Amino acid sequence: MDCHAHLMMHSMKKTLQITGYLSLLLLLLCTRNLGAQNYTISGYITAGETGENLIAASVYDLKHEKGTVTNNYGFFSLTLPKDSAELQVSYIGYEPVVKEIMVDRDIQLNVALTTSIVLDAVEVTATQVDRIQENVQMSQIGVPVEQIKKVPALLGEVDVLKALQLLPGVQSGGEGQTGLYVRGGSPDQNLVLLDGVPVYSVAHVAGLFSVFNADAIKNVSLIKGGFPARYGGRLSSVLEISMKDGNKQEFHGEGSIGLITSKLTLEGPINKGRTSFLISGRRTYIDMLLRPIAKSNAKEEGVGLKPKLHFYDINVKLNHNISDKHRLYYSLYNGSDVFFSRIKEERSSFAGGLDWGNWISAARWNWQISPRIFSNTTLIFSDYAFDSRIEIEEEVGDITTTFKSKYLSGIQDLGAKWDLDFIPNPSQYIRLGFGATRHVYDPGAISFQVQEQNVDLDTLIGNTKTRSTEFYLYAEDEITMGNFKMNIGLHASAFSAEDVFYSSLQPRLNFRYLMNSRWSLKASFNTMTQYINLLATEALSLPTDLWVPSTRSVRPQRAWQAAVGAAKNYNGYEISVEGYYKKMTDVVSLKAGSSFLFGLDNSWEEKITQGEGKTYGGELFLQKKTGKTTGWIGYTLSWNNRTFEEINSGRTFPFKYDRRHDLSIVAIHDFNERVSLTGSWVYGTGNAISIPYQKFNIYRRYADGGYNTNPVEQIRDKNSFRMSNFHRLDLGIRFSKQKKRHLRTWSFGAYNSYFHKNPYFVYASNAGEFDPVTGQYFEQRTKFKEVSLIPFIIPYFSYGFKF
Amino acid sequence: MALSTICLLSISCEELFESTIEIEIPESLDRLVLISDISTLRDTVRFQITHSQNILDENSDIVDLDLDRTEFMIRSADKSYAPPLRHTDLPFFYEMDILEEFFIPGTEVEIMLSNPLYPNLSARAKVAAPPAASNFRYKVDAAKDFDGDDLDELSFDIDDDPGVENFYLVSAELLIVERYDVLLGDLGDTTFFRKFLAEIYLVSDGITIEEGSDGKVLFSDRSFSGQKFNIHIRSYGLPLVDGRKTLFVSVKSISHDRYLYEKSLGALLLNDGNPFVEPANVHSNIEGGFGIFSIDAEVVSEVEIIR
Repeated sequence: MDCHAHLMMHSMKKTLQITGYLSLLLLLLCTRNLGAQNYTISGYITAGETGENLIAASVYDLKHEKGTVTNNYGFFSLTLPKDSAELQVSYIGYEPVVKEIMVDRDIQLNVALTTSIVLDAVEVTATQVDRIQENVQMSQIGVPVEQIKKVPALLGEVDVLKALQLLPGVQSGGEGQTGLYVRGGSPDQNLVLLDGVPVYSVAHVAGLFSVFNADAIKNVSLIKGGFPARYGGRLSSVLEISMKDGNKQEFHGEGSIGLITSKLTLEGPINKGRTSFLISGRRTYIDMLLRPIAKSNAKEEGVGLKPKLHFYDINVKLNHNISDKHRLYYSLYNGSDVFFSRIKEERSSFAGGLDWGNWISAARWNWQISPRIFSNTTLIFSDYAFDSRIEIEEEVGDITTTFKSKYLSGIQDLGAKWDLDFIPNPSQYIRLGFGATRHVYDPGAISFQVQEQNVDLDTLIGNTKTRSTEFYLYAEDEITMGNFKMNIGLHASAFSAEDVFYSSLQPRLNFRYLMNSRWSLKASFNTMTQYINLLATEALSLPTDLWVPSTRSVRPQRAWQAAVGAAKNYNGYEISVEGYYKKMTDVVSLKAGSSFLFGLDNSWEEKITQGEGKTYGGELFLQKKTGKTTGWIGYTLSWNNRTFEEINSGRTFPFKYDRRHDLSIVAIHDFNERVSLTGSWVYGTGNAISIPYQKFNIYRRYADGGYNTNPVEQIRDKNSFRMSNFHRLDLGIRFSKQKKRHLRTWSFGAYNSYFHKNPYFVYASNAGEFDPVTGQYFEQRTKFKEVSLIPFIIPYFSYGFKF
Repeated sequence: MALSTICLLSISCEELFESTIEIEIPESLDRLVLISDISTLRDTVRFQITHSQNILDENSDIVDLDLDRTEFMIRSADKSYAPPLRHTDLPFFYEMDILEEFFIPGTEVEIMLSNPLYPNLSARAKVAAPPAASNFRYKVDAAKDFDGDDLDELSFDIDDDPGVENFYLVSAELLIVERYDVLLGDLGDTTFFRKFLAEIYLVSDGITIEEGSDGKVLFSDRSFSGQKFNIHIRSYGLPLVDGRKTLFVSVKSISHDRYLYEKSLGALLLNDGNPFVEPANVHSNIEGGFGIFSIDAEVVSEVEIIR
């Protein structure tokens, strides 16, 4: 056995040992209630109309003042002493249900909640255990999907990621971009999970739209810090998106026709109450509108033209209740952007374009092993591929020449994970699990085919595929002791690539102290390790962005984060204040002057450098989820710096998206069931930019004795200047009407309502100006100009229907 | 597509999309710029000397230095030397003769330049040791490029110290001697050098690990493992009229500063106008100014090409 294998074995043994001890400790802790005569009520909480499992629904015994919340599959388990219980089940937007139960045996209880007809009738009572001040998890925000759908959006295209950018601690990169910068991290440091499967490319059209179709989504949860031990693999956030399961009771559908896309979602029972399906599709149709015009123009010029220009998403979900104890789920997502055209002339043809997209698939098996033990086994598959093709065919005389080239890159994951929830008593919630993922990276291979009279070449140039395996184990325990609650855990992970092995033990701690029934103090500490890196430009999310593994010379990125905060619930308003400090090591950045754009090759390791990141700040979040007026105000005050030995002469500099002030105000007002008005206003400090302060020429000699001049500009300190501050108001109004067979909704709105020119980039201009008196151009001093991508108002409308 | 449309629109409707902003650029003095081309093999040292300008200044001309008002000093551990700088036939290019054995490998050399119009400039550099390059071989039509055209391959070994990171710069020139046809009258031999490396790749174990430009390739020994490694450089060959040519291959040991300077300048020129590139400075090791001072050690080998 070689040294590498020994190291791997030793590390794995150590990890298993530590996790084993921790598991044993957790089991010992939970034996403390075994002497009492207790019974367990367990089951699923669902939405009555659809049969959808409700995530984080509250189940509370009013008599014994004990409660729990449902897990990601709608399952709950509450162990109570042998006695009668007054069980209240509640979930925001649904009528609470109270049931009197005699707990003299283990009871299987499935509760279906019905939607609250009048929003403001939903009473937020003191029994809900998922209230912000009760929850030990800090730095977590959930935004109801129905609220996301009402937030005004660019071109009316509802976008989950852009709605999340309106939350404190989350920033957008630039105008209209979907990238999430969470607490100073970069978008590649976000673990984006769709039904538990990592999504590697979350953007369509260079980041203008996200790949998530809101009509197919049930729940969105973002964790910015205090990460529970069950999550790992990224430094900055966990964004968990759950797809709808599909209506188990009745066949339903919804859809919309908008300016750029149309959507249709169909769902219904296959076997009523037990098996259901959901299928949802979204497609842009600008190409369908443009094609006849382009074809007709091309025809006039004697050219055949076939343009393809669109993106699409398809979501499919199947689920089947085998019994109360066993459930199966299957999720599938496929989305792609296609930019392709074929031009045919008499003796030649050209075809070329790009397409990229994700295939994502998950198969899950829920097994309620006992009333107190629930397991979930998941098989995952994720594939992101980028493909660029050119095909040229030309006839000269009798000779036909064919040239074909193809550039391929991407990443593919195949993995399995197992999670176990053990709820021994209402004061403890134990989670254990492990998983393994095999990553296959295609870091950019170019194939060429040339066929000519005397040449027949078929070459594949570029690196071969590389592979790595990532393993993890975790154990966490959520313990309640009076007013004190904590979630302690350990996440152990290991990464093995061709000639490297890395491992990491990551402690995770969350504490909460309930000052009284309305407010609490919270604190958290966690460490995270990230083994894979995204090679990307900072400015845009591009399909050429490339995922690569840690190697011998590129170390894994690591971070630790500490946060303190307070949370309060007051008359339906949730208020939280948090302060955080995050230190990241071995974060990846492009070396100065390097670019991955159209320049990928095997020397990527040479183009990057690793350094430190420090980010700290405070966040204020005021949210109202119920009533006629809902929405939130989020404010972030933050500092975000980087230090790289090879950038800025080793001096610390602000990260491009260092944003001192970031404010979002979102308000949704339902005048009645038919009309609702929405508005969002954002304000942010301008992005940090580098501006040159001196310029000079470098002269290069030619072999013939001459020379050329290369102008060079020098910057004093990287990102030491700021673009103008960013602010924008978006407005929207929705008119809904229940028709005989369906509910129809007209949405109208305006993006950038007061025509503000928000800067996208800055350039130095020293172009001469025309002097109308002399009729000549004259030189002028260099000026800096800001360019805005969307300087005008963009109105939108869409027609939606639901049946 | 949407983004391209917006970009196109922003170019065509400048006024609509752009706004001029006031950015306060801190006051800064113009500085001297020195770019050295020193090799221990040669007895003449060449410099490029110019000066910088504030970015907001009008586009006034950059002029040659007034040598009468410029003081120049080069100093090693035990020698101080202030040779007269000479203008060459090109503006901004100067040269001077250097004392024999002034550049001793491993010793540090300091350079100073002063002119009353600018802050004083100084820099230090350690004299590099010559690279241990040997076993030069040349193979005609050894590989093919993306278009299926033939590539010649030059290979050689470098004996390298694996304990420290070393940097190398390889370039090659082809000596072409042509005798003009007697029909035109015997004009005698015309000898000229031609840059050999039109396109250049550094290949190791069949994988391209570095792409060169401007007839030279730059690399670090981090790309290789072990003490001795084999370098393969592929390039388009030249038609060999008489079947025999001499290739002069220069292998230089360069300083880390020189490596960073060449890399940063190469990237800047390659990405000129690309708005997605991280803004960067051309690397400098000059105190009080800009540019590069490096004393590289060079070996030149003659390789016979026989087709």
